[in-house]
Amino acid sequence: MTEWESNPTDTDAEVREATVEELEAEVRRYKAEAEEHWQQFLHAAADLENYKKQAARAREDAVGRTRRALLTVILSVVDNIERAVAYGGQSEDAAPIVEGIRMTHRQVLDLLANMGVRPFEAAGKPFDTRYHEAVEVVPPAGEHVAGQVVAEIQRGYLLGDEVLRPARVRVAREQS
Amino acid sequence: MARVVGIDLGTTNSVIATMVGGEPQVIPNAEGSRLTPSVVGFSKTGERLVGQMAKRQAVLNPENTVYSIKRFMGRRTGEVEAERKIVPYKVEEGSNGMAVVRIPASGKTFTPEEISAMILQKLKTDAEAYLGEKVAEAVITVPAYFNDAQRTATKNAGEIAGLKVLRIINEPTASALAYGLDKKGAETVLVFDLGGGTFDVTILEIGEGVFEVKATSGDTHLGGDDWDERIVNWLADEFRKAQGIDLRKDRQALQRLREASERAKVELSTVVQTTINLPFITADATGPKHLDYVLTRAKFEELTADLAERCIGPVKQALSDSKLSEKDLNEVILVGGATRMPMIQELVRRLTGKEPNKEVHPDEVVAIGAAIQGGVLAGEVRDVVLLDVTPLSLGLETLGGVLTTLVPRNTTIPTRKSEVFTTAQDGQTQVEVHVLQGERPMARDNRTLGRFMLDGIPAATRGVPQIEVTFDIDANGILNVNAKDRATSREQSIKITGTSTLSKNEVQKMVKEAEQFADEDRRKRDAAEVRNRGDSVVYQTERMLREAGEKVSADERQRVEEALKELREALNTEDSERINRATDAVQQASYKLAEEMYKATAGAPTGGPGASGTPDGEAKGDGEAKRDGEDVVDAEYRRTDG
Repeated sequence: MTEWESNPTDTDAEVREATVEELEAEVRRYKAEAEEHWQQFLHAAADLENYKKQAARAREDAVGRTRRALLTVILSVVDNIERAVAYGGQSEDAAPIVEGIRMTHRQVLDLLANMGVRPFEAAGKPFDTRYHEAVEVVPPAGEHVAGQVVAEIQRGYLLGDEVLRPARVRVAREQS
Repeated sequence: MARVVGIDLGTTNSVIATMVGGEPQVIPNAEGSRLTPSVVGFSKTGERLVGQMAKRQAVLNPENTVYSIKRFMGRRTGEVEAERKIVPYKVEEGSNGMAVVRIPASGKTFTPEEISAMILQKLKTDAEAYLGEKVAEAVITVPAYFNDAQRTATKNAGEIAGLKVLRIINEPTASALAYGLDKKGAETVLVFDLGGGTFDVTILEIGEGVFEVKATSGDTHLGGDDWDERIVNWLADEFRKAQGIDLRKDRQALQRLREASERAKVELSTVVQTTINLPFITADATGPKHLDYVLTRAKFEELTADLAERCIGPVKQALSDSKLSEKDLNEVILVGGATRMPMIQELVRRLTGKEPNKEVHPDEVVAIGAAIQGGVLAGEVRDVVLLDVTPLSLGLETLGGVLTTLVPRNTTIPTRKSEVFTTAQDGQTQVEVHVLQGERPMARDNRTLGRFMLDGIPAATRGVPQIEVTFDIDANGILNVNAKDRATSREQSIKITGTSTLSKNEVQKMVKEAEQFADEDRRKRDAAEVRNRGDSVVYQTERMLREAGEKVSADERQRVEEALKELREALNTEDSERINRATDAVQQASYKLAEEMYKATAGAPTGGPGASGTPDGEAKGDGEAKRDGEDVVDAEYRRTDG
C-alpha cells in the first residue's frame, strides 16, 4: 500500500513533466506555424500591393499605346490630305475645292495640336535616328553635306516631347 | 533579390519577359514596344544603335548595320557561305575559323556573340529602367536544332551583356512551358513556329517535367515577310497593268506599298476582304495616280498557296523522323506572328488533325515560357497558398423573385461582401433572407442554400429600415450569412457548408443553363423590374395623395386616382407593356399633382419614401459593398406579421 502511496506522486510528476514537454513542443509547433502563416500573409499582401502597382502601370501603358496607335492611324490620313494639297496647288485651276481641302488639312492639324501632336521639321537637319528614318540615300549635291537630310518624304510628328512618328527622309550619302 | 528574366533572342525580333506576382509579363523597351528588332547599327562616330533606332538608319548605313546575326552564332565561315552572300554587311573568318562581322565604321571585327550581347544589353537596360530594379540573371532561348557551339555562343553573349545565364532552353520547350503543358500530362507535342523570316517545326516528348526533342525540321528562309512580298508584287503588277508605271522603282511608293501590304495581311486574318487604298501613290504627265484595290482572303491565299505548301514538307519530315503519325500527337502549339493567318491555322489542323493551341500571343509565347522557367529556377514560384474561387455566384432573393448577387462566381476566397437592404412593405417587422447559389437572374431557377428570418424590426415606412446583409466565405468555402437591423442591432445568421460540394459537372451544367436561358431570363427579370417600379409608383402616389389632402383640386385627384386604378389592374396581369404604360401615366399625373401641391404650400418639399434611404449609415467592414441612399435595394422581405 505504501508503494501505492508513494508511486502516485512520482507518476503525477512524470505526467506533469511529460505534459509540460508536450505542451512546450506544441507551443513551438504552433509558433512555427503561426510564423509561417504570417510570412505567407505578408507575401500575399505584398503580392497584392505589387500587383496593384503593376496593374496601374499596365493600364497606363495600354492607354498610351492605344492613343499612339490611334494617332498614328490619323496621321496616315493627314499624309494623304497633304499629298492632295500638294498636287492641287500645282495645277493652274486651283479650284475652291482645293482651298476646302487645304482648310480641312489645317483643321485636322489644329485638332491634333490640341492633343499635343505637332509636326517637326526634318529637311536640312543632320540625320538623327531618334527623329528620322532613312528611306533613300542620294549623292550629296548643292549645299547639302554628307549625312544631312536632303528632303522629307513623310512628315514626322511629336506627341508632347516624344516622337510619335519619325520623319521618313532622303539623306545625302556619307563618304566612305 | 535581383530579378530573373526570360529572353527570346530571335532572328528578326527579340522579346524579354519576367514573372510579376506569379504571372509572366512581357516588358516593353524604352521606345514602348514589346518587340525589339534584333538589329545593331554602328555610326561613323562609333555610336552604337540597337533595335528600332538601328533599323531606321539601315538604308543609310548598310555595311555597318547587322541584322539576322542569329544565323551566324557559333558557326564557322564554311557553314554559312550562303548566308554570307545574302547579308549586306561583311562576314569574315575569325579565330578558329569562326564567322565574325567586320564593321568598317569602327574599323574592327565583332563576334556574333558580341553583337548579340549588344541586343541583350539593350533588353536588360530597358527592362531595368521599366522595373526599377537590377536584372542579373536570365534564361535565354535557342532553336531546338542549335548545336553545342551555337548554344555556348548564346550563353557567352548573355555573359558579355552582364547577365548570369541560368539556363539555355529550347524555343519549343519554352512555348510548351508557356502553355503549362508540362503540368498537363501531355506527352507528344508539335510546335509549329512560323516567324518573320524562319520556320521551325519541333516534336517534343514531355514526361515528368523533362522535355525531349524528338525531331526538328523547318525552312531557314520562310516567314511572314514572304507573304507580305507577294501582296506587294501583286499590287505593283496590277498597277503597272492599269497605269503603266512600276511602283517598285520608286522607293517612296514602294515603302508605302510594303506597309499597306503588311496591314492588309494582318487584316485578312480577321476579315475576308480588305481595301488597299493609297491615294497619290505616284504621278505622271496626266496628273496624280491613286492605287485602290480590293484584296479578298481567297485571292491572298491563292497568291501565297505555294508558300503555305512549303510548310507541309517540314511537318511531315519531323513526324517521320520521330517515327510518329499525326495521331500520336497530344497537343499542337502555334508560335510566331505568321501563324495568325487562317490559311496557316487551317493547314496545321489538316496536317495534325488537332485544334492548335494559339491563345498565348504568338510573338511573345517563347519569352513568356523562358520567364516561367526563370521563375522556377529563381524560386519565384514559391509554395503559394492555393486560393480557391467560388464556383457559382452567391446572393439572395429580393423583391419580385429576383436574385441579387453579392459574391459573383470566380471570386477568390476568403472574401467578405456586405450590402444594405430594406423592407418592401409599410410596417414590415420581419424579413426572410433566402440564400441562393447560381447564375440565373430569377431566384427560383437557382439553388437554395438556406433561409432564415430576422424579426423584431421596428415597424416603419417601407424603404426606411436598413438591414445589412453580409456574406462571409472563409478559405474552406464555408459561407456565413448574417443579417443585421442597424436600428436595433438585432441580428441573425446562418452557416452554410455546402457551397462547394457541387461537382464540376453540376457547376458546368448550371453555368451552361444560365447561358442557354439568358434571353428568357432577361425578359423575366425585366418583367420583375417593371412590376417593382409599378408597385413602387403606386405606393408613392398613394402616399402623396394622402399627404396632399385638400391641397389638390378634386379634378386633379380624380385624374390621378383613375390612373392609379388602371395601374393596379395592370399589376394584376402579366402584361409588362401595360404595366409600363400605366406606370408612366401615373407618374405623369403625379407630377401635375406635385406641381399643384408646391403651388399650394410654396416650396415645402414632400420627400418621397425612396429618398429617405440611408442618411448616415455606412456598411461597416467591406467598404466596397456599401450603398448610398439611392441605391438601397428593395429586398423581397415577405411580410409575415400579417
